[in-house]
Amino acid sequence: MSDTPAVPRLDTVDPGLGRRAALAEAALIWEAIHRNGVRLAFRPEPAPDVSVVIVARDARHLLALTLYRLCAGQMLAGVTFEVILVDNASGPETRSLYPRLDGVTLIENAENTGFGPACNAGAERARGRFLLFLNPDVDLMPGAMAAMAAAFRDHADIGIVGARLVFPGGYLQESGAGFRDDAGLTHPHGRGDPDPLAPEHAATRDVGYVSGAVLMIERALFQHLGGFDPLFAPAYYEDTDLCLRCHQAGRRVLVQPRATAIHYENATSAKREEVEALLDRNRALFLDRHRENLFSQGPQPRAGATLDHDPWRLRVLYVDDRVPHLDLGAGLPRANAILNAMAGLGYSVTFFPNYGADAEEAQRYRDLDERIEICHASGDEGFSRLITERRNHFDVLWVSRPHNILFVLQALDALGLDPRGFVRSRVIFDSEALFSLRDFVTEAATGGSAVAADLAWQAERESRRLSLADAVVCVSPAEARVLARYSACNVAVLGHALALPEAPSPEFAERAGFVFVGALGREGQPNVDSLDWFFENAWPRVRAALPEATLTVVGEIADTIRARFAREGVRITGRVPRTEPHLDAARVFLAPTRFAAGIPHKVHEAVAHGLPCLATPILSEQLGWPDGTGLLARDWRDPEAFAAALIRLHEDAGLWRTVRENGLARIRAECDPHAFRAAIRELCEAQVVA
Amino acid sequence: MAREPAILVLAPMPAAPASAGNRRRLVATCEALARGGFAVDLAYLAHEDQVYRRFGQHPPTDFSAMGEAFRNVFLIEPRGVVPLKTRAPCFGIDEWCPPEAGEFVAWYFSQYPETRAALVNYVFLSAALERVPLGVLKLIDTHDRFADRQTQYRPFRAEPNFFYTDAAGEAAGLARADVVLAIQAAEARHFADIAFARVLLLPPLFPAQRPFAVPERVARIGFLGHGNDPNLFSIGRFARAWGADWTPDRPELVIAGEICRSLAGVERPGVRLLGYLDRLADFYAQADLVVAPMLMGSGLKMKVGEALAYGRPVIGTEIGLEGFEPDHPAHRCPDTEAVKAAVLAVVGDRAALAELTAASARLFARYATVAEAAEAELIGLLRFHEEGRFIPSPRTRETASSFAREDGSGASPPPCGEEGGGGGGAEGTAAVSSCPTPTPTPPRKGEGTRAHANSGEPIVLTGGGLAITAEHSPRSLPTTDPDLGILVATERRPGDGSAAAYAPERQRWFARVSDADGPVPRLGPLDVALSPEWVRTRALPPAARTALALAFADMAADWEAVGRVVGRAGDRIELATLLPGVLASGAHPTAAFLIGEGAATELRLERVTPLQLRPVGRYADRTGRLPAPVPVSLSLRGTATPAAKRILLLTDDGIGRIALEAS
Repeated sequence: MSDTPAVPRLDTVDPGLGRRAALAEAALIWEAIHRNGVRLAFRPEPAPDVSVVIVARDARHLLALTLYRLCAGQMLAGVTFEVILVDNASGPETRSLYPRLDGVTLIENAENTGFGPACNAGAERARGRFLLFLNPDVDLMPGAMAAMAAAFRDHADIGIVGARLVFPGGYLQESGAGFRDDAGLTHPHGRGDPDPLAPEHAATRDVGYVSGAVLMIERALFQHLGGFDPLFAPAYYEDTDLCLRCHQAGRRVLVQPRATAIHYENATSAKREEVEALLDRNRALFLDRHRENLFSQGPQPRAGATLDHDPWRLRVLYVDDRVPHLDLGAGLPRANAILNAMAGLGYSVTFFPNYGADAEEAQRYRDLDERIEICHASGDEGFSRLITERRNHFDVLWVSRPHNILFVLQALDALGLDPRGFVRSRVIFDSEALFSLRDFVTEAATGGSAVAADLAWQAERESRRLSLADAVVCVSPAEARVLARYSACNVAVLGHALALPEAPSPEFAERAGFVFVGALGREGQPNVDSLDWFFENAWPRVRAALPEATLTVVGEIADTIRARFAREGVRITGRVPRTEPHLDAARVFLAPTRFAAGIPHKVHEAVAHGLPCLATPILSEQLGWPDGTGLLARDWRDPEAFAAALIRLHEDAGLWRTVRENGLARIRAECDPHAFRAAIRELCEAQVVA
Repeated sequence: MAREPAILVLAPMPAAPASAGNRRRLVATCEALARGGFAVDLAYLAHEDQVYRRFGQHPPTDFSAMGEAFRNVFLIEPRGVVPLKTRAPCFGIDEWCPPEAGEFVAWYFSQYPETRAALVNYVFLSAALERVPLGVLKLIDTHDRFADRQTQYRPFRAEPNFFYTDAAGEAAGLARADVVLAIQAAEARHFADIAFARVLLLPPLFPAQRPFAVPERVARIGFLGHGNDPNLFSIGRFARAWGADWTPDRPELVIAGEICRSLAGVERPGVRLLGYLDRLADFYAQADLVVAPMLMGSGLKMKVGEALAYGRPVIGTEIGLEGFEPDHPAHRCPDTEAVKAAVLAVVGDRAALAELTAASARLFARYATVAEAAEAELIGLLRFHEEGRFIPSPRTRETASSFAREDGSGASPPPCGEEGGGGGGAEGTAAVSSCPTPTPTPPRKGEGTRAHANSGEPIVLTGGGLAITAEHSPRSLPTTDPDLGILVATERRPGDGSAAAYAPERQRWFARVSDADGPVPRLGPLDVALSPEWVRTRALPPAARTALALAFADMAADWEAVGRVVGRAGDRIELATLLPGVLASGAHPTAAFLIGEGAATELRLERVTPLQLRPVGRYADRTGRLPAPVPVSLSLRGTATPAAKRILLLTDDGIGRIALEAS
């Protein structure tokens, strides 16, 4: 069982307090603008991407804050935008701000026309491809506008995109919203959660509607839909109605939590009783129009269940050690490819990291699809909570590595749940490889001997509960054969997906030196062992022959190991955001692995990048590649030969090119991303056949 | 007289009975080809049969009727399972085209080398065109646009149904054809944008059955349709709206067709279900006015064309009349409410009704003119090709075909109705019949040998209170027979490149209760698809069911496992075994029989409990089409036969056999 690591939480304060602080700040901004003679000058945009439409009705301080932040952030917005301000008969105090605005299209109504009609009037003057309706009490976080616009490009059939809204003080206001056939009708997702970064509200997803406080829509669609319906004037439910009509036009409504906005909410509204009366009236109008559409067709959303508006999505719960990033090694790059492929297939994926989340939480999406829900690494307790709250929610349970399989089965046992009863369709165990075999080899390599009977016992123990799964996935046919020997289970193969670089990588003459890529965070890991052996036995021979040769060591590394490996000609980079520049600079990829299980992703990646590799036979056998295809294989027990091959591969251009071309051909044949996606579909999608 | 030129038509649905729009389109296209002087060889890829069976229904397929309507009829049974659902964004273009389709096409052209054109229905079967020899004209009748078709379901929060793919997939499929047929103009424009092939508009021609006449009064408004999702959404919603405030002074809504099966609960005062009607004329005799309140769907609504052909005024949505290029407001309603309002507007207003009838007549006349011209253009093109004068359009890939470029003129085929129509001789233009005329041709190598050898007297086996009759004939539609009893099994014979496998005849077993004594006849290792009687309808009495199970006990199973009895108490049996994964979760209608040496007992499967450890024992998937097995415990109930050695576990289209091991 895993420990329960501390889950990071922001120190947020309740919205009442937050609002007081924000109002004070807004008053100070107002004062500063006036007293210092500041002009809020928006840069003119001849062809803006976005037209920001703000409807103002008094509340001068917050309006000043909204415009000040927008203006100050114009350079950082990531898209070009224009501002259209529609004033709905504000008092003179608020209007005193307008002479201080430059580059704003101002529409001043003599009477309050209501929110929807004012937005429509603003939209008529708009020039951007997108309209962003923004309440006059909103502070957009950096990049929010660009993230919203990007959603239209990155996802198909998008009509409307909303933002994750946060109360002043940090509590979550909502991250999209949905409908239920109850008195409340509308249910904002996550409202009142003290953690605005809560994982379940941080993933991009289809929703029933998004708040009009921050709502982006394609201008052409807005025109096609006839804008906001004035039926709902002065306010409330016009945004909800627009989203419903967007769905009915066959377009999706998305919440993009990458776009975060502090919304001071209701700070600009009239008296509470008037608000309630308007809400009641407009809810009735809204239901008259949409009740049948919402509640007389399709599967009905249940309380506490799915947050996703699309009931037909395949829901996957995926469990692995930690958030799988490409730079981590140890099977995690493959998990990364699987998760991204699943998201690309439109599956709704929840990822549970059993042991560790990202050290830098904000970077957890750096190489993972934004639609994946990445849970906190909340250990036993968190997993129990997850499976308790989401019974009968997931279609597929995918668990990677034997210890996680055991962990998941024990957690389900503890709650009296059967894995097959917990998910609706498929249970997939991704064993990658038989881990007890790796332990056996490790023991033999380090201790000089190992007991075969122990292997048989461990292998049986490791694999006995695999048989309940619909499929047990191995990384290569070789591993599948080994597993099939020890376990009567449904063995399947899912390797790696690698797209070859679009442009050819540098040629022989443009490269020099050696490169090693891999995690070196803990003593005892195969990577650390391999470099210990290499520096002891091979590197002095290489340096003797090639005194100028360099070795670059890339990947997370512990300080003590870094100190031990530091020596002449060796450059240790630590973790890097992208390995490609290092792969493009070096001439030979080094993989002196003495023991490991599974196909080494890093070798695949290097060869796919056009970089020949020098590896041990254990790796070439796992790959199933003959010597000279992508790599030269030399036994570590003969350091002399290992070093000689390394030198030759570095110096012999003809050999280098042959090994590289053979490797690229092999990658093309074995790691086709389309075949990889097809294999995932085959594993996850059960067919009605009998 | 020279023999008629032939064309191969491949379709994933049968042409008879014409119970759905796509079948009627298929018939209409074949009729057009027959009018143009072509002998049609129809190959039915038994996709729909498989689907009906998987959902516990008899496939409505009539080989006798097809045999009368076409020169040759072929049946291609796929061995694998056509995936009906995907949770990915869409299907790949070839996921619905089993290899048997291409194998058949290759076989067909080896047997009928003089056939010079092949037309596949639906772009998802386009992969079969890859096996068409050079020099043969390749056509796709699209029926519909399939790129991003799934988005139509979004407004209804409905699960996408039938086939859908992406734009790249559709374009890749169309690229396999020389000629692409579109059912309506907007789709023709779309295909022309994405396809290299020449695109022809071919709206189906609806021969006028009855002239338009203004109804005396509107006592009934009608809707006729197949039970597909677009129809269900649309008419379901319209029926609710119509019935909501219906009063007896308003016309009654009558609904007919296969859709009635799926509309339970919709009937109320003002809304009546007529069920399936064999004759269209019967329906149009009852409906004074026809509604097409479609809210989704593309293609062209055959029911609208038929209503017009029967001289009925029509009111419908813009989607309902898509492809008819309507201009009257009653033909372009935005939604079901507007359709209802338009109906009510003409009910009490004789002048308005007359005006609507006239508008409908004008619409039909305009449409017929376009359809006739389109048909002539297609026939002209086919004739041109027959005569070796077809020049692929400049849009056609240069490498696509190497045929018929002898004259090298680069000219396009002549305009419709000129050389093309006349070139075919009198039979090309004069033959107007409701069905293509069958033209007997001598059998080819090996063709029909098995079918003919086996056709003849039915085999009757009796015993155990049962009479079982095996009939080998193209009589595929009836599911009961007054003499033979009910249909219980149909032979399975997947396409294997032999004439016998493609002959549209299968052995079919009927069973009835009889007073025959003696042992139950054993039918041996038959390869059969079982009827819904086994799992769903259960019309035979219990004793006859168990006798039947014993008779069929040795039939080929889709999967076989070994089971161990792990518990027994009273009439309960607990059995540890392996089941195909898909049966281990969810609810599946099943029937189970315990088979002994000379007797059988029916069991009730009460529960399937997944196990976490795998029992020792073999498992075999005999079809290669089932998901992998998972360990389960089956809770069964029934009178056990001590000597029982195995259990038959039957699901809608699956036969499982569990060999019992001593515990």
